[in-house]
Order: sequence, then structure tokens, then C-alpha cells
Amino acid sequence: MWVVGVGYKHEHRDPAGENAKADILGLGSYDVKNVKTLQTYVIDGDLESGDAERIGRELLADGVIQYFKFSHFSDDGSHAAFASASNAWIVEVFFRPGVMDPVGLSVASAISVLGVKSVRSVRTGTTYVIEGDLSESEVKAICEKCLANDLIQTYAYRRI
Amino acid sequence: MDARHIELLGKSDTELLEISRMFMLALNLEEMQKVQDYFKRHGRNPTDIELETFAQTWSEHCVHKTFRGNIEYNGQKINNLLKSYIIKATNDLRMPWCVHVFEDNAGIVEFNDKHNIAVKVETHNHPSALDPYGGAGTGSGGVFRDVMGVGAKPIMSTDILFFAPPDYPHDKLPKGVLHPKRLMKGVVAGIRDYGNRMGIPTANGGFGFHEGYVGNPLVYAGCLGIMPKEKYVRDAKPGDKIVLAGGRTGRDGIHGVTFASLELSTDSKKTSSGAVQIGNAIEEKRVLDGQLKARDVRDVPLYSAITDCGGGGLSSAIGEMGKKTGARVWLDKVPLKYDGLEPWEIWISEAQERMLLAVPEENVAEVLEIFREENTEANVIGEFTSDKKLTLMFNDKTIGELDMGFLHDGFPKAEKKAVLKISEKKDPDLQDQKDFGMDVKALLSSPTIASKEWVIRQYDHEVQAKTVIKPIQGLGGPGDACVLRPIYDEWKGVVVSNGYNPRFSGNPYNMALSAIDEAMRNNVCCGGRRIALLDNFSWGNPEKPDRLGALVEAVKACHDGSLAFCAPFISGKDSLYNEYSLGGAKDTISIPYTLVITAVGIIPDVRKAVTMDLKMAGNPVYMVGETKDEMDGSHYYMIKHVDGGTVPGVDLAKAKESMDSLVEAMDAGLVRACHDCSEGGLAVAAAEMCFAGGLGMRIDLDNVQQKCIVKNHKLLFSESNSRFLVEVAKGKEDEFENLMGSHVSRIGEVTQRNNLLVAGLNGRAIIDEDIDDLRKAWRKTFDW
Amino acid sequence: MVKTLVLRADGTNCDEETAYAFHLAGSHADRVHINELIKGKKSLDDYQILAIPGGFAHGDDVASGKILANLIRFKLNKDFVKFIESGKLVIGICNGFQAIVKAGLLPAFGGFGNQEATLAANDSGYFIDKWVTLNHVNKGKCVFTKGMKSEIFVPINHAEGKFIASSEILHSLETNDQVVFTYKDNPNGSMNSIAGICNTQGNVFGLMPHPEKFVSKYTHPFWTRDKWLPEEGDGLAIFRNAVNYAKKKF
Repeated sequence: MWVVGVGYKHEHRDPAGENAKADILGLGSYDVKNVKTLQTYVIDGDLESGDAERIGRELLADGVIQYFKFSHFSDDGSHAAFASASNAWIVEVFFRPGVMDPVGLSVASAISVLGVKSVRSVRTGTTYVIEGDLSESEVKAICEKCLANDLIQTYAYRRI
Repeated sequence: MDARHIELLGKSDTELLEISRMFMLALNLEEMQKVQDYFKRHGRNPTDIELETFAQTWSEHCVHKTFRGNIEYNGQKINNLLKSYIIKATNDLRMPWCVHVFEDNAGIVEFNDKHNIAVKVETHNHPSALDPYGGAGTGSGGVFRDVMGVGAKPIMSTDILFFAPPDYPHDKLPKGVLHPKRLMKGVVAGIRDYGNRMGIPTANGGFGFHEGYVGNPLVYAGCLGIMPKEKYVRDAKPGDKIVLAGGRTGRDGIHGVTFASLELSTDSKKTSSGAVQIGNAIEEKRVLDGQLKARDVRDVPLYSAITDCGGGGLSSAIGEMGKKTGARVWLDKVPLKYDGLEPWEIWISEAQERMLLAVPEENVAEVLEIFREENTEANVIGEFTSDKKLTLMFNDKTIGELDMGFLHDGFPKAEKKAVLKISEKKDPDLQDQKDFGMDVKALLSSPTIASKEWVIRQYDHEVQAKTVIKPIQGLGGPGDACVLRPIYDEWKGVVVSNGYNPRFSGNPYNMALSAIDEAMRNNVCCGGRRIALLDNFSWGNPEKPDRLGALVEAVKACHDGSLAFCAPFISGKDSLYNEYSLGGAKDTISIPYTLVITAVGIIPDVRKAVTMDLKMAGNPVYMVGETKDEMDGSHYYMIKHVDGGTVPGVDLAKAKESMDSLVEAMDAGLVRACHDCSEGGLAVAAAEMCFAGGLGMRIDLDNVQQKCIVKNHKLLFSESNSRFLVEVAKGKEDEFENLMGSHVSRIGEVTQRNNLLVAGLNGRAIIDEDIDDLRKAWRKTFDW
Repeated sequence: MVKTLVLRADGTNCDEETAYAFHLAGSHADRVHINELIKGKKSLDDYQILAIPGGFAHGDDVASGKILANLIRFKLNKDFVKFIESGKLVIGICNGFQAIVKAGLLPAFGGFGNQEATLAANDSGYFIDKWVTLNHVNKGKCVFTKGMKSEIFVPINHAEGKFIASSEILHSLETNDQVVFTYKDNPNGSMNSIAGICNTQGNVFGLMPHPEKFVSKYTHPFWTRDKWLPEEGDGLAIFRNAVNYAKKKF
């Protein structure tokens, strides 16, 4: 399983990140300096690293304004390290298993247009890179109040 | 039968109720007993899928037990509330342009000699409370499918949303409830993304804010569609195949309809995750394109009947469509999202974006190919029979068999008791101020009145290029209604508007009449006439007699209003049990009684449509209608933190006459702008017309038509019904006054100054405000 | 009669009004699903004008117009390139503009197939529905806007309309008379306020605003206020120019 994260090059704006930052600051008391996002795709299939790279380059990332990173998906979440340079909280939000993911279906079908035939499924989610002076309990609260709807989404966070 | 049976025969009453609770059937004792009786007569126990079928088909959502049952009210016995009042009024009016009302997915009325229009408004309250984005999106998707379900193409959507105020203190929020600001943002985004993706302009709507909605937000989604008259078909015949088109089936929304009958609680999140549905608008667009092709590729549709899969899923859709004939379903032929679903789950799943068609055998191959060409799936999953039975099969084994007649008509009539409690409230009789500028600004900033431009600009209201009068009028004012021109080469138009005011809950009869009056006057503001109405009730628990009594009063008002305005009801819905319990606490909080009336009118020539933005300095301003001392439920009393007085009523005869005359005046070209007075009264209406027109206004309260009012604030802020502010073309005053007779008085004029100037009863200025300052107050609340 | 192919994909939703605009301009317009082109049931050879209308093709999944762009790039590139090189006309409106830019068909300075610009999320982060004034800045290269007046008023309805390109590409567009429309008040942050561009031949034109939604005075937001609006909307000229050019040339 591969995970591909697509973020905005630093000279371009990140609207999802800006909205998330505004929402978090709107909660009142959190010291958040910056929020960046990566559109995250978990691709399940018999793929080589070259396939994953091609999927990122030809489909998932817009070469003019975005960059992408990819790695093998690890259950313990350590793949999330690809998202950041340093000193940030990384939060991954995905749909709960069983919840429909129409974008995932659409991406799986679009991958086959590239000629990559061995994809079984695609799950989509968002990775947030949050820079700020936050405790773990504050990050948890931010996830629950703002970034994830516990009913249909799961979230996981780690400090890098 | 080779299926899992559930022991029902010989069970005691307590045991029957326990079975209902355990399987989340939401059937009461009487209903369980009726089911038990049925199986006793058939000498066997039910299978799990048969029990589920009863639960879905007899659910509140599908049967409307409260509206169709018996009610004992203040000594009066009412048999079928809906039929006795709302449908009765429509039948008495006998309008020849009503094509099909109350029975099919949507109400259908004539548009012109070649086309009909179909309208439906629905609520999607409970799912939106848990997942605002998905709930609101699928609510939109569902109502679009209702219009598709009569074979029409959706051409506009309307959305009316109710939340607690967006600045509700976080620490007062009940446990397990999402904050209203988060709910509102999520709901708006859900509606936006679904409607925009399907290419349906969201051209009309509204908001209401009240603390009572904190545990139960309300989401009303409406849709209007158009279709050629001869393409309306609804007769599934024995031998027709059952074709399921669209998305695959999963566990989405299982127990959605039965869930809607349970009150929300802090446990709701855990037990109700099955009730949440995730939408896929592109899938629905594919299905829409496919079904329109199947409808139009030949002179006659390739299908003999069509309906949507909504509440209750296949069980409701096939149950309804095969009611008169009988149907056999092969559940193993239903395409699934993932493995492992039990047949009963397939049968009641509320997976979205699915349509059901009855297709004669000779057309099946062509229909399947049409959907495939649109990149969606279609499969034959059964056939209609002539045996009047519902037979359910899985892998060639019969797992359920029910009598169609009993399934649809065997449910016991609900018996409920209702009482009315109205308390007489003394009017606080506030003192007048010297200047009301601050009060006007406070009103303009209050959430229900404040500018919703942040929301409106996220909705595409240009798509399809049919929107002639849009939700934002002039240089930025709130439109009363929208006008569509559905057929590019013709000038006839459709006018859509809404009316509601939950703050008038203190007098449910007057509240309902006011909602009707407001929907009508909003329609008239743009030139609408020949109006059809839709009713949508969101109410508390009908098993509580006081809630039910209020409901009866509101329904009676619908009857009276419909007859007086000659505006038939053509469709309606109800969402009951909107109460929030804190798990253990005895008292539940009911929402304010909320009735939304949607009005759909016609305008013969859209080129004569009128908007609310002031057009030219020097034009006279008239007021239509009488202002009365009716301050209960007013926004003014809300911002002043006082309570009392009476809820505005409607003088029906005067209202109808004045509205008819006003439309005549518009047709004669006498009216340059028109806006109705509602929340915030005359003062707010005047300010809004100035915002939209970029002009000012001068008003003399001395000339406002009224009896016995001696205080300025009552004239400024009363929310009496049936009132309009009208800008008349200079030089046409005599003609206008002759036409309108005693219904109008001239109260002021449009000015070049950027200022709203109101002189009070003593002749002194009591409002003298810069329009830009007023506009700032109006815009700041939702400047997100 | 000039024939226009109005392309549809899953989620296209402005095709009807786009076809109607071409009909008003004097062309026969067919709404054709991209599957029909891919399967060979219909051919671009039979048409003189190709219009890719607005909407949410494939839900804007991944990014607006991206999946449709890939369908064009990987399944129909030869046919589209042949169409363009033969001098026939292509117009991409909103979603259509996004698709042809991401498919590398516009501006295509370095040849077809390489994406040289993009349309990104509006600076506001939200979908925006509003009418805007456009400056017509083209000096004659673009076939679709020949002779049009210097300012037009049309609606925009998009979430991802911010035009972005490298400074080299921007410079080339400006110096080659390939910028067609700019926004008078930039609503989405587009570089150089660019609202629409054309290719070096002037036969491929892409724009974010929606001219097909203003072919009649009665969709104008101020028609009840403005007595002097002409019966015909500003947008119709674009379609008429295309049809007249095709009539003469083919």
C-alpha cells in the first residue's frame, strides 16, 4: 500500500490550510502559527514505486503549483513523517472504514486511465501540518472540535 | 421459508415491545400486535426481512401516522388531519391547473400547454444534526430525486435552514451537540457542493435563528423541475421488469426512517452512525442524464413508471410502485458496494443516488445500455406481477412474502390526544425613544435579518441560464422571491418564495397563517400569481398533547389560508419528534414550532417582473396594508429582551384583495420596486430597499395606515402581515391609488441622499441614519 | 450549416445553455458525451467547432478539470491535436478552460501535452457566484473576440479560477497578444488579472467567465434597473464570431 501526499509549493497559497487555521483560531485559545495541508491518498494495489511516482505526477499533483511526496503506508503512521520538515504536529484525518468515499472511487478509476491496472482501492483524507505551541490535549481538542467529525472520520496525530 | 425467522407468535405485549426496540423497528404496541395477528392468520412466524419491511413501510416518515391518524382535540374528533383540512381545501378549490397532488413524489401543476412543473420540499433534520455536510448534501440529493421521480428535470433548488445563533456560548452547548456555527458552515457547504455539482441553481432560500434549535437544527431542501406533459407516466404493469439504476447499495442509512422517529440524545452518535449517508452528486447527475435520455429518446418514455429510492430504500420504492399489482424481487441481483450484506440490509438500505424504473421487457436492453453510456450502472432486480403480493427472493430462495394490501393499509390508525394551551400575554408597552438608530442597527445585525451574502455567493444561481430574478437584487439587497424562465424561447416564468416565522409559536394558528401570508406576499413582490403552496412542518413530539394541539391549530390555519387566498396546497411533509433529551433528564427541549410554506407562482411575462431595489429619486413610496399593535414574537421585542402582546394575525379578505390589486398594478407598469415588511417591520424593509437601490428614503409615520397606535416603535417595528413597501413611478400616483383603493397610503419618497429619514407621529425625526452605517451593521454578522 | 460539438463528461452541467448559445449564433450544436468520442461512435472530423462547457466534470475530484484533462490527454490526444492543427475552433469555458489547460492544449507554447499554466483555488477559498466586468484586451489574434467592445459584463461561477503561470509564460502571453480578457476587479487573485487566453494561432480560446449565461438581457442582474440594456447579452458576440469564422473558412 502506498500513500501519496500532495501539498502546495511554498510560494503558492494553501486555501484549505488557511481555512483550517482560521477555524482553529476561532475556537479561542490555541496558539497556532501556521497550518498546511496535504491532500492524502492511500492506494491499495500491486504497485511499484515507479507507478506511485507516476500517479502522483500525472494525476494527483498539479505540477505548476503543487509538490507531492509518497511512501509505503505503515500501520503505525510513521509514513506521516513525509509531510513535514520539523517541529510540527501532524494530524491525519480519514473516513472511517465502511463510510463511502466517492473521491476515492473516482481517483481509482482515473488511475486506470493512466494505464496502471493493478489498483484495488483508493482512500482519501487530509494531512494537517500544524505549527504552534500546543500540548497533546490541545491537539486532541482541535481534532475533535474542528478537523474531524467523529461520527464518520478517524484522526491520528503525532509530533515531528 | 429458508430464512431467519423471528419468533412473534405467542409473545406477550412486553416481549413484543422488546423485539421492536431490539431491532430498532420503532413500531408501537398496537402496530406490533397487528403484525403478530397477520402472521397468526398465516400460521407462521415472520422472517427478519418481513419484519423490517413492516418497520419501514409503517414508519412515521412513510405513513405520516400523526397526520393521517385520529386525534381527539378539545372535545373534537378529527379523522385524518391531513385529509380533513389541507387536502380538503385543495379539493374544494378544484383548480384545473393542479395535475397531480399529494400522491406522487412531488406536487405537479401546469406550466404552459406543453409543460408541467413538479415541486417538492423535504426536511433532513436528524442526519444534518450529526453530520452537517453529509446530511445536508444528501437532503438536497433526496429532494432532487423526488422531482426526478416524477420524470422531471430539476431546474432550481431552495433551502431554508434553522440554527441556534452562531455566537452561542461554547460552554452552554449541550453535550454531544455540534456548535451552531460549525453546523451552519457544514450545512451550507453540503448544500452548495451537491447543488453546484448537479448543475441546479440554488436560487432561493432563507434562514431562521433561535436558541431552541441548539439540539435540533432544521434543514429544509426544496426542488422545482419541469417536464413535457405527455412524458408523465406512472403505471407499472404486470410483466414490467424492475430496473435499479445508479449507485451501488451498502449499509448507508439503515434505519434512517425509523431513526427519524426517535428523539436525539447524547447516545445518538453511537447508535445512529448507520443513519448517516454520504452523498455523491456526480453519480446522481449521471443517473439524471440517463433517465432523461430514457424518457426522451422516443416519443414515449422507455419506462412505464419511475420513482426514486429514498427513505426506506428499495422496500419503500418497490412497495409503492407495485402496490396495485404485486412484485417479485431478486435481492442477489442488486449490485453491492462491499460484501457481507444480509438480504434485509440490501432491502432497506438508504444508499443514495438510486432510481427505480418499471420497464417493459422489450425496452430493457436499451434502457440498460443508456445508463451504461452515462457511466452508471443499471440492473434488472425483479419484475412486477399480478398476484398482489410482495415476494422477496435471494439466490432463488423465497425469504419473504407479504400481502401488498395489508402492507400498505393494515397499519392501525394512530389515536392521539391533543390540547391547546395559549397564554394571554400582556404587552410590555415600552417607552418610545427619541432616536431609534441604534435599535435599527441592532435589528439589522441580528442573525435572522443580517445579510447572508457570504452564503448566497457560494451557491451557483446562474447555471442553466434560466434565473431571471436572482436572490441578491440590485446593488446588494435580499430578494423576496426568485423568478425563472424555464424555456429559453418563451417569456412565461415561475416565481418561487417561502414564508416562516418560528418566533410566532406562541399562537400556532396565527403563526401558520402568517407563514402562508409571507410566502404569498414574497411571491407577489416579484409579480407572482396563480400560486400553489407546499407545507412543511418541523415539530416536537406529537405524543405530547400540547405539541399536537399546536399542530392541529396550524393545520386548521392552512385550510383557512388556502381557501381565502385561492392557493391550493399540492404537497407537504412533516418531520416530528424534534426534541432533544439529555439522556436521563425527564424534560426534553422542543424546537419552536416551525412551519415553512413554499409558494410557487406563475408570471405570464418575466419582462414584467419586479425587484425590491429603489430605482429613482423623487418616486413616491406607498405602504400597502394596515399596521397593527401585534408585537409578540417580533424581533424588536427580542432585542429589547421583553415578552408580551399578541402574535400577528391575517385579515384574509383584505390580504387577498390587496395582493390581487398589487399584481394588477405591476402588470400595468405602475410599480418600480416592491418589498414586503416582515422581520424588523417597516424600518428594516425600508433600509433593505435603500441598500439594494443605492438611494435613500424619507418616511412619515403619520401617514402609515393604522388604528389607535400612539407609539412610534410599534409603527416602526410591528411585524403585522400583508404589508408592502412600494415605489411607484412618478406620475402614476393617481392610477396606482385608484387601483389599490383603501389598501394603500402614501408614506414617503425615494431620495437622492444616502440616508434613511423617518419622522415620527409628532413630526420629529426619529431615525436619521447614513445608509452606509446601516449597511455595515447589516453585513458584519456573517462577514466570515 | 456550421456544426458545433458540445462536449459532455460525467458532471458537465452547462452544456444545454452552451448549445443554445451556438444555436442562437447560427450553428447546429450536438451535445456529445466523451465516451462516444472515445468509442468512436462520433468523430471530431464532422465538426468545425468544439466547445467544452462549464460544470463539475468528475466532481472536480483531485482538482478542477484534472480527470477530464487526463481523459483527453490519454484517450483523445491525437484527435484533439489534429482538430486544433487543422485550424478548427476550440472554446473551453470555466471547467472547459481548466481541462484544456491541464491537458496541455493551451497555451501550448512548448508543444501539446505539457501543462504550462493552471487554474487554482480562488484566494477567498470559496466558490464565488458574481457578475464581473471584463476588459477586452486582445488586439485581434483571438478569433472569438474579433471586433468586440472594450468592456463586457458576465457572470463567474467557480471555486478554482485563479490563473497561475510562470513569469516566462506570462510574458509570452502578453507579448504575443494571447491575453484576451482581464478582470477589472480581480475576484480570485489571477496573475495579471487574466480571465481568458488564446493560443498562438488564435483558434483555441479558454476563459473562466460564462458568456453563454448572458446571451439575453434578462439574465443580467440589473435588467430591472437599467432601461438601456440591449436585448442581446454581451456574451453572444463570442459565439457569433466563432460561427461566422467557421462558415467562411470551412
